[in-house]
Amino acid sequence: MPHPAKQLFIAVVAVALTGSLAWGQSFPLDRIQKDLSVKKGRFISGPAEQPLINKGSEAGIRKGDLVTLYAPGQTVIDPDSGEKLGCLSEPIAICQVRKVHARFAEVSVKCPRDGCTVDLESGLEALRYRDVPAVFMDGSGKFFSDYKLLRARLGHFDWQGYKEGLFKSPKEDPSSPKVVFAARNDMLTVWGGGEILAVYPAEEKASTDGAVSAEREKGRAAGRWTGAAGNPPSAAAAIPGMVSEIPIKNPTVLASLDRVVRHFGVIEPIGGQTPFLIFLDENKITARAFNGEKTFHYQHEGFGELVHMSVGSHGRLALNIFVPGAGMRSRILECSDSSFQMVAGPLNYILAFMNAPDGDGPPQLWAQRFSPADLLIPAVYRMRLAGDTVSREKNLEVPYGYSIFGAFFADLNGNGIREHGFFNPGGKLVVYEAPENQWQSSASFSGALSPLLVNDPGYPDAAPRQVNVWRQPAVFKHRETVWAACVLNADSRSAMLRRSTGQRLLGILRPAGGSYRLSRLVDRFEGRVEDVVAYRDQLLVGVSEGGSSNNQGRSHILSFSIDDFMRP
Amino acid sequence: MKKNIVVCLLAFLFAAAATSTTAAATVEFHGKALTGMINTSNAKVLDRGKAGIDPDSATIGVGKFRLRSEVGTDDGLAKLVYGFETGANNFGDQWGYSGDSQDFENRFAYIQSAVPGLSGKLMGRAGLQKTGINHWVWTETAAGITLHGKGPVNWQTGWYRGIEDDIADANDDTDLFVLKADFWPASHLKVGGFGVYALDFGGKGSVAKDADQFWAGITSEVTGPVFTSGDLIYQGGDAGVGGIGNVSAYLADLTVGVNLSDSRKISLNAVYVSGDDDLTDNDQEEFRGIDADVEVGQIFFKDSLAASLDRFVADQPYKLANGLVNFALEGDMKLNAKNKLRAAARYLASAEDVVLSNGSGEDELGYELDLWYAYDMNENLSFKLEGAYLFSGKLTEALFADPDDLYLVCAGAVFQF
Repeated sequence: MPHPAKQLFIAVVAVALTGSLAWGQSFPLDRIQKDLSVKKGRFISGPAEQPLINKGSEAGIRKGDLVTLYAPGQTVIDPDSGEKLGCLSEPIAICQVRKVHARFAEVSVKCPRDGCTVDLESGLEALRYRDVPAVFMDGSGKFFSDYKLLRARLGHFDWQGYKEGLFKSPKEDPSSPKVVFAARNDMLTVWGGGEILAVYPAEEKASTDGAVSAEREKGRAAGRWTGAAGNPPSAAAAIPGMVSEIPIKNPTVLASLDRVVRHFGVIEPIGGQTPFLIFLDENKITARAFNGEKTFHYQHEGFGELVHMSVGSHGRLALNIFVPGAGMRSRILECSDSSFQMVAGPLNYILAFMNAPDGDGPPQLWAQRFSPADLLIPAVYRMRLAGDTVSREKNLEVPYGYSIFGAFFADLNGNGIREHGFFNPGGKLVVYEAPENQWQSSASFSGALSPLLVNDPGYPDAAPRQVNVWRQPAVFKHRETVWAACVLNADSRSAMLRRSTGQRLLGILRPAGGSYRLSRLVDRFEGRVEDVVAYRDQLLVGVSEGGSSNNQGRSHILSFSIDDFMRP
Repeated sequence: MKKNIVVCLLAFLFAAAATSTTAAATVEFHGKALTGMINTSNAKVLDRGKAGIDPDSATIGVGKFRLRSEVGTDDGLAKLVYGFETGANNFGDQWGYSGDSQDFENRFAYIQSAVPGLSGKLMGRAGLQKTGINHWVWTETAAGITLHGKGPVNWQTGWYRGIEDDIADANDDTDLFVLKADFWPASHLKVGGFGVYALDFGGKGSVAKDADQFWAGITSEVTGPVFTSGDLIYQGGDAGVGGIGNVSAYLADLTVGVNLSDSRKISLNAVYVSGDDDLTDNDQEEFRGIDADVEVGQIFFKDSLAASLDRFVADQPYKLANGLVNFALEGDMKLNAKNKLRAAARYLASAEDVVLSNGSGEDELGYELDLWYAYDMNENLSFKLEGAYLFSGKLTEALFADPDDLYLVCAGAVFQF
């Protein structure tokens, strides 16, 4: 597991194992060229003088796109023939698409230069990505050839050069909108005006000849792989047990934070209308209204650490607090639209709200006994929360190795009986329909970081044991079928041997042919996947960069339309 | 005969369990390293109060490393556990130039497996394993075969071979049979009980034929704004070769505390360990555990980094004097996310007078002040600064051949993963 000492050990072994392999990587240039192509439109001054363009999703316009507006220029006349050759248009402003409708889009207007003012009238020519400043930031120094190819293919950008170094994603980019191609490790992130426009994983290529072969390029262009093994190019290296892939479309960034956030969730406060994003980092819960108007905190200053949280209904939140030597001292909080209040606790259990998809009943509060001497005891109870009192209601039969961390309880196969899904001690996702094991992933996963190191109080000098704090899967319903989105992240040991990235996996578990299928979302993320939440018709994914041993880094909450990525 | 039947039954259950599991797949590797510098006013404090050590001040560096690996099946139904320790070694002594120490100690070596047909809630262990019976009686490792049930009631039973002196002689060994159970009648209440029956038990170091002893105890713990915990243990049976001595001893331990806030708590602790009022008769009224590490302050017992580095006076009360009386007031405070502080003031005495060489009887060990400070740099590394000062009583002055008060200071680090 990814503790610093272990990572060092594993890294040494991995270097020894993989040092003789010679592989290179390249980005899917055809796809990038298509996604960032020029599209023509017109500027519209809307009914309330709000800025719009006359192209929308039907024309391929996406949120975050940058569009240059041109003033009608002077006519250029051929001095020999007197023929009108065209107009010399002048870029006067750059717009960023904020909201996309089917046939038009709402934009915000930004001057290309400091201090300029623009007078915009309907009818101005609007060209997507034409003359938009662009820069290529290479975090690893190995993608200069990709920069050259991109620059050649995307000549309509106003290229401002290639730079080596890490790109620190901006909080916002109000003054000088530009597109940044940030290449790092095996990922190309395209930023536009401070937002992530797209993320492209690198594809592996043999580097013995130093370049991608023409035949291979041809194969890619034709949408097929022509390599000797007959397998697809393995940027999305096949993970055993993950038999299909689901593409992510049109991600948007709900929030970006200057720290690593291990958990997040969405809570609807009691008595409030606006939902809040809640983040757990260090020993603090931060609530931030979706509309950004309110932020408040809950700081745990007592013994122990906040290690996990689970969101229920009616503003309820279960906080799991681990006190070394004592065990769990968990709490139930209630969130209003201005503060958190402790409702109950401390409780000597790991708590989790078992959320059912919409229409399948309210969430149940479950509790698993935990002791530093025995760790996760397979004694699980359904709890009753009445006022400020929590009491045991029913003893639940769970399979051996059950961990309420990362568990779900839902009827995925639609037979009227809810299944237990959880990660077993080997890191495999398993599904039980009591008492039988129905399915098990063939690959092991590492989940998110931050496992618990637990010392046995009866034997304190012994090396600690470890409990993985798996993230709770997001259970949602799509077309009358229940799905579960799970934070996976490849197991670091096997990942290194497979030359995969080792992290960045989000899986979708669904019923299939009388069994289950675990599919991966094909867009790998720029950092670890930390948490996942289903909220209304959106799937929200928390991704972090850096901070493997502390919270120094960045986190982003990305949002995807469930309808979009479930569409065949 | 009965003993052999029980042992064979446990072995059978365990062997059956081992055949039911799937291929090994998971590997875990954990470790804990402790190192520190210790300064004391009396070197006897560092080495069990031995008579041959001069009662002079001393400063030493010590290190101890423990590593443990676990290889198991994905489903957790079977695993192999092996762990070892090197240290605790003094800088410049066992760890000299080029680090040429030969010190090595097996700590864990066992197989754990589920018993088939029982929903995985019954596990068997065979080999060198943690006993974990009770922190006053038996917590250290021993070799044996045990069964463990986990669920609403946690229980374990099993057999340990404490000492095997002569494999050809069935009567030349010490066998111990254990039974322990804990359950939670309410969310904040845990109650438990345990029993140990030892055959031919002569203490941790010897076989005493026909000396069968037993320990029976009840334990409880209440958590909440007001918290309590307690143990009541009775020791009985026979002692000495031939079982000529009658054992009748007990231990009572009670802690009551209050959580003043989320980050502050205070508690009172009282411990009474019975002692022997007449060492000349055959009766043993002094309570003796089997193999445990008693945490009653820093100067004498093992509630410190120095003690974790194996620098202590006694790991059980009976080794220090004649029973024990401890009254302590303890405070625990979390200063902030990374800094923790604990302090205690305690009165220590033996339960019965100890007759000194001058013929007088003394029981007062003294008043001890303890301080523990920890800085948690991250989840892996902690720095510790600990110290204790003992206003020595007459009994301590005699035991340590030192008319002055005692102190102990230890600064060090603990790394774990």
